Formats: sequence, C-alpha cells, structure tokens
Amino acid sequence: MKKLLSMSLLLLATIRLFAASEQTGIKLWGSNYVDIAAFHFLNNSTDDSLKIGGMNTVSLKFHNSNKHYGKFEGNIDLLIPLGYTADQFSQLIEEGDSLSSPFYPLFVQGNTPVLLDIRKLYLSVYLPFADIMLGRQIINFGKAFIFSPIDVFSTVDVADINFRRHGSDVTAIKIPFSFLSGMDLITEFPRKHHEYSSAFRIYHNMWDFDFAANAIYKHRNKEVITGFSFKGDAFFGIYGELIEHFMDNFEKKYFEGMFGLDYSIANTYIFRTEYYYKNSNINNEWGKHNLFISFQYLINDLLNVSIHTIGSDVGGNEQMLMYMGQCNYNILQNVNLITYARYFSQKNEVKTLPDVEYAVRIEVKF
Amino acid sequence: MKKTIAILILLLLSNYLLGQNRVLTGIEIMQKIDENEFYKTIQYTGKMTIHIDDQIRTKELCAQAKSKGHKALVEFINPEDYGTKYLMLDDELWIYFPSEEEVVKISGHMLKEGMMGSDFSYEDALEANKISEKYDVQITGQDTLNGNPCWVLTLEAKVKDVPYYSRKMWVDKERYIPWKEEMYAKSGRLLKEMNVLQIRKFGERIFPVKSEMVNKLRRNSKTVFELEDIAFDIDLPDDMFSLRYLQR
Repeated sequence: MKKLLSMSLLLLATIRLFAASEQTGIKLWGSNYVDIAAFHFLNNSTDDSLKIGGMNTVSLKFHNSNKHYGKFEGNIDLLIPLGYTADQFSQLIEEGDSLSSPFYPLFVQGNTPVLLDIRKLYLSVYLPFADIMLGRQIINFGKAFIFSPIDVFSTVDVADINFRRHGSDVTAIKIPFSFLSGMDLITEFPRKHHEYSSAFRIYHNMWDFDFAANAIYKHRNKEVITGFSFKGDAFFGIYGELIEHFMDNFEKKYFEGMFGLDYSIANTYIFRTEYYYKNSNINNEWGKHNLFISFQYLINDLLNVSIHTIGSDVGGNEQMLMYMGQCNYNILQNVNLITYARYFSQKNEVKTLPDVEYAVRIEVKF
Repeated sequence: MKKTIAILILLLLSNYLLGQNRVLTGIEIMQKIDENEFYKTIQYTGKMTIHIDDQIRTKELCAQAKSKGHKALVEFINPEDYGTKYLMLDDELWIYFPSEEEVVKISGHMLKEGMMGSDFSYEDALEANKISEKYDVQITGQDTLNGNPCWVLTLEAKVKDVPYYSRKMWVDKERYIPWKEEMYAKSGRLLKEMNVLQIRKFGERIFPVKSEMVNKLRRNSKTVFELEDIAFDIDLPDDMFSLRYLQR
C-alpha cells in the first residue's frame, strides 16, 4: 500500500513538474481511464464462473514545444490491474512470461502488480534531407486497420478495445523526395531470443492513391519479404497489401495478401471489412483465411454504437472468432463513457480467456 | 454644329452615368469577394464551438494556408484531440493521428463526413476557394440582411464533382461580404446554411472572423467558427505542406 501511495505521489509530482516547465518548452497531455469488467466463463461448472476484474491506466504524453530542429516525444502508460486481471498478470509475472509482453512490471503490491508500458520514447532530429528517429516508436508500416502482413514492427493489439499498437525499439530514417513521396528506412534494435527486422519502403501518391513498395528482412529467420501496398478511393475506399516471403536462400517462397474496403453512408453509417490470406508456412497468430468486419452507427456526434468481428480460419476446423459490441458516449468535453461486450469462441486452448466479457470504461482526458 | 456638340456632351454624360450605375454580373461579384478575401498566405488560431442539442464541445486549432496550390496544414491543440493534423493539397486530404502514428488519406465518400464532429464537412474545407470555378453565377435578386443591402446570387453547378448542386448567396453590395449562404441538393432540399457573424478590417481587406454553419440534416446542431491572431501574407515555406511535415 505504501508503494502504491508513493507511486501515486511520484506521478502527481511528475505531472506538476512537467506542467510547471511548460513555459520552458514541454507540452504535457494525456488521459486516465478505468475499465471495470465481468469475465464470464460459460463452460465453467463451478460457482465462480463470473469473475470481476479491470484496469486503471494513466497515459502520459509529452514532447518539446519547439519542434523546429527535432522532437523528444514520449507516451508512457502506468497500469494498475484489478481483481481477476491482477491475478492473471501476477501469474504471468510468476511464470516469467512478462518479458514477452509490452507491460513491464514495476513492482507487485500484495497480489496487485503495477505495470509500465512505454509506447513511445524517442528522439527525432530534422535534417534538411532527412528526419532521423531513435528509440521506442509506433511504426505504422502497413495500410490495414487490423490484418497487415507488412506491419512487422508495431502490430495491432486485437485484445485492446481501440486496436492500439505497441511501441518498437527502432532507428528510422525518413528521406523525402517530394511533398508526397519519399523513402523510409527502419531497423529494429537486436533482441535476444526474439526476431527483429529491418525494412525499407518507397512511397508515392499518384492518381489519388498512396502506393508503397516494401522490402523487409527478418534477421533471425533470414527471411526476405517484398511486396507493395496501396490505399485510395474507387467509389469505396480500397486498400491492400500483396507480399511474397523468400526463405532458405530464396529456395522457398510464400504469398500473403490483404484486401480492405470501407464506406460511409450519409455521415451516419460506416462500414469496413478486411480479408487476409496467410500461407500456412508463415508462423504467426492468424489462420489461413481471416476476416474482419466492422459496422458503426453514429447516432449523433456524441453517441455512437459499433460492432466488430474478427474471424480466423473461417470455415476451417479451428475457428477463432471474436465479436465486440461497443457504445461510445462523449458525456462531457473531456469525458468519455464506453460500454462494451466481447464474445470469444474457440479460444485455441487459452483457458484464461473468458467466453464473454462485459465491461465499462470511463476515460478522462487532460 | 451646336446640335452635334450637345449630342456629344449628352452621349459622354450618359456613358459616365451608365458607368457609375453599371450593374455587376454574378461572376464579377464573386471576383470582388475573392479580391477582398484574397491572401497569399494566412496563419491563424481558430476555435470551433460545436452545439449538439443542449451540449457544447470546443475544438481549438492552429492553421497555416497558402493560396497558390490550395495548401493548408491544420493542427488541433485542445487536449482531447491534441496533435491531430490535417494536410490539404489542392483537392486531396490527409489526417495524421499522433497516438497511432497513422496517416489516413480521406477521399471520395469519406469527404462528406463532418470535420472533427463539426457541421463543416471535409468537402466544405477543400472547395472553399473554388466555388467560382465550379458554379454558374446569376444575380437573382436584392435583399437587406441585418441592415446591409445585399445582392442575392444563385449558383448552379456546371461540373458533376461538387458537394452541393446549387447555392444561394447574400453578398454585401458595398463590402462584398457573403453574409449568408444556403447550400441545396439537386432535389431542392436545403442541406446547410452558413452565416457570417462578425467581420474585421485588416488594411484594405475586410475579412469574416466569425461564422456559423448549420447542417439542416442534423437536428439541433450548429458549429460556430472563430478566427483569432490572424496574420496575412507571412512567409510560409512550401515544404511544410508535405507528408513529411504532417508526421512531425
């Protein structure tokens, strides 16, 4: 309890310090959100099939105000899991699995771990011919919303209700050719026992479409990935990624592809779908055929409801499906109330994942 | 001889009088509006007050724009949307969301959506400088609006690629301020109404600094847009209107 209290005091002092130094050039903003969730295990015959958990997240963001020559930017989340969620994190920490997670355990108080997620912490230098960035960054490399075969750095976290990404430790060099074209070079810091990649892309805008040619090298697997991606408008918004994997000195090759559509009707109904084909030789969490469908109804600019579905290997023997319904209400200028329910089916032996989750999130932005 | 001189004088006089009272054409009035509002570059901070039923949401922004090439860079600075940026290049638009480092190209159908939840659509922002290029303009009447004598102009689309089939505009006869504008669908349905609420003189230029947009398709909704700290014709480098700058 003392540690929790001193942590909170430290946090308040940090906020105050940053706020006080605003005149000297630091901009600080962020949010605090609390998720309270009920996890329902439908096939659990015992009495405790319903477990209560949740998380409090303080998300701090900052950068220097004068960005003329460069930028120092950070986004640090401090997470305090509650109830069943705290139990799950404690178990992960005990098993030593926390290293594979983006959450770094600061300390454990009783059964409550306090976690840190450094989403961004990097330095940029703006040179006349290039922007150079070094440190933890969000690298949005693909064109997709969910399924992106070329998004090898900061992949989308489908367990997050806003499908957020986690940071990657990289060096990135962005060289512009014109206002709408350029070249990006990105290399991940080598990590023990983990794959790390280097990538290169050239992008250009023509015929109202953004096009990019991409090349990726996975160092440990000695794998080369090449392909191209596009995003533009042809009645529907359309986007896609088509790539080829080359392994074993180019003796083996596999194809991967993603195609997406989005459309908005009368500024009220927003529809989006993505299909992702993965070759079975490629080792990642998805199946051969994967589909994402999303529908959002804007009741007004303060209130909207949405349904998202992610299905993997649809029609196959090992289906994995996730349905999520959300209702977002902007109660006050800086306060959002989000209620959501998620249903998980065919969980691939992940026993800790509930069948249904009912939750509410209150978010205050500052 | 006397008769010839008298006719000549009469002719000159009538020419002078006609010149004084010559009625401007619709296009000429539109050109006068453009001349009055024309800038090479502009920089301002803005406040969007969105009224939805009895609730109010406020967005603050910094904007820089260049007339040549219809270029604009807008950054939102209110805490809820801090760092969200828009890049407009001619009729193309990109949005940058800092949280996910995501650059989204807004095109086609998505341009009809309200900008940051306001009653201004992306299309309204993109085509603001191109109205006289896309519409046939006729003077269809005269009216007095809040004590200001106005020309009433009717604009009809001459190209297909426009968000509104026709428009009706109330233009100040002396100062060429478009005090009021109504936007219609092809069916004749009133879609939006814009009113200039406040003007300010900057040298020879009289510029609207406060206006409101009412979306007639949304119930009890309007957006008031106020411009502050306006600076005209300052030096803005061309490379700030680029995808590279958008992501900084």
